[in-house]
Amino acid sequence: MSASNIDQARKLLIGDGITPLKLEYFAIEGVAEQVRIALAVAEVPFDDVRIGFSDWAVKKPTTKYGQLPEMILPNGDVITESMAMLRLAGEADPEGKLYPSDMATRVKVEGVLGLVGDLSRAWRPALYIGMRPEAFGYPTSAEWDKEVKDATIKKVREAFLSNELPRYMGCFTDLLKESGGKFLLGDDLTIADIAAYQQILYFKKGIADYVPKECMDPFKEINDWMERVISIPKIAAYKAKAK
Amino acid sequence: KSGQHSLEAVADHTTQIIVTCLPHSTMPKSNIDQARDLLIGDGKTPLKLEYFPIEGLAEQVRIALAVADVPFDDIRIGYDEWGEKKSTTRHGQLPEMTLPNGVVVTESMAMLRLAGEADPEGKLYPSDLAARVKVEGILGLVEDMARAWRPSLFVFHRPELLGHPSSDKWENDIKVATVKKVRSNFVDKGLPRFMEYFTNYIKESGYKYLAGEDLTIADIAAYQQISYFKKGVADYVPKVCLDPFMEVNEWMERVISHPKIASYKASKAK
Repeated sequence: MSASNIDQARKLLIGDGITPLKLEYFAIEGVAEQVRIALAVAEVPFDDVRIGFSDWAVKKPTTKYGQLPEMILPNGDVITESMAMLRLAGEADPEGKLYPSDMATRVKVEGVLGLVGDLSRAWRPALYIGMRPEAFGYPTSAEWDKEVKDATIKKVREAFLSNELPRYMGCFTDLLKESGGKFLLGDDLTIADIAAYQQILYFKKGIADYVPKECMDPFKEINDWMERVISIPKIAAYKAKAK
Repeated sequence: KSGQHSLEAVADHTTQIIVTCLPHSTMPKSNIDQARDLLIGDGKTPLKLEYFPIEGLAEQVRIALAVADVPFDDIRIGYDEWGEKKSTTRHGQLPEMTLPNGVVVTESMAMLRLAGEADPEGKLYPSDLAARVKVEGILGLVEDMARAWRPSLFVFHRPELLGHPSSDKWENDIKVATVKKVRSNFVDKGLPRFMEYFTNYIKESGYKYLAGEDLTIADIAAYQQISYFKKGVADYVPKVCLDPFMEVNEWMERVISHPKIASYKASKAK
């Protein structure tokens, strides 16, 4: 019989335990935080390398696809794409719960990961219109009349808050009700919870103009679930250490 | 319990030999068996895949099912039926896949992975994790490319989602100029960048498929997204935009000539 998923994943991520796993990303949560959390829950040690924005210009040409995060395995292989890393970390969970090998359950995890991707896609124009307006058919930030720019950002973000956010929170609330458990798929945390948590948490931070922290207040089941996620001992311990 | 048992010696890497005595029915099933059980069941109720009458996000799933020899009802929902159908779906979206056991699977990428797991040759979505993580890396790259293209798609079809006036209100000259600018920028800068990355994968694999010697779901997903740009269906994205990328074009030929894919496409030809 071939080695279990857990064994394979731990061998890739830990190796002989001499060279640590390296995860390189910017000094923010972004798309890497879900990976950091999953590695913590799966008890896989790693060097949490943070690249300063000022160092990025030099670093970028050394990356495989001009992007971060990059994960360097003990055997030297470089892994790209945060969702590939998230799945690999999930496979390494010694309890086999983060990314179950039971196919019926796994396809549900993938369904929720897809939904998180849909939410992220729905938010994206609202996020980037401020940072890269020319990608959306607007003048560059330097050329765009500041008042018009501001009014456009406000319009797009408020439309997201009125239309998309409640729609997706409704979907996630339905999942919680259906699962009958503490987490999105049942009683056990999966990588779907971790991915969803990080995406939804962003909206509670109040860091995007016109997206107040209070926008998430109406969604009680979601907030309760988020509390449960963050209270998981290994996650709480990781967050406390990462500060 | 019923008769048959097998003696299974499982070597645990770190400590001891565990000898277990398991009835056949509790031996862990391979990914392939599990996936085929879910997708085919007893063979009486066919798998259902519901989507609009276009390729869109479902075509990669249809192709993967064909390569994995999984029969399915390829159901097309007309746009005029969508109004009524939408509220019956789990998340107001298509595609939806209904398994023989009645379970509804959402999200095309979840379906693509499940179809991949069902490949009797175990190649579409290898269970070897080192190979699998490479497939996942390419799937992520395909999504990055789709993300880079998306504003070009929306600026034409759903401009209001990007903060522009809706199509009926947006002065046509300005709309056309904006669409042209955004799409030309993608064709001139975004597309070559991604084609370079895919070319690297092709070269690394020895000019076979993206992840190595065998077709995987990464090839199928990438093929569908990239072939779209050759269709000439989007204004300012000419059919010839991919001509400079020789290795990519050769790889696309290789994918479409795969016997099961060629046969699937022929069976769907109108």
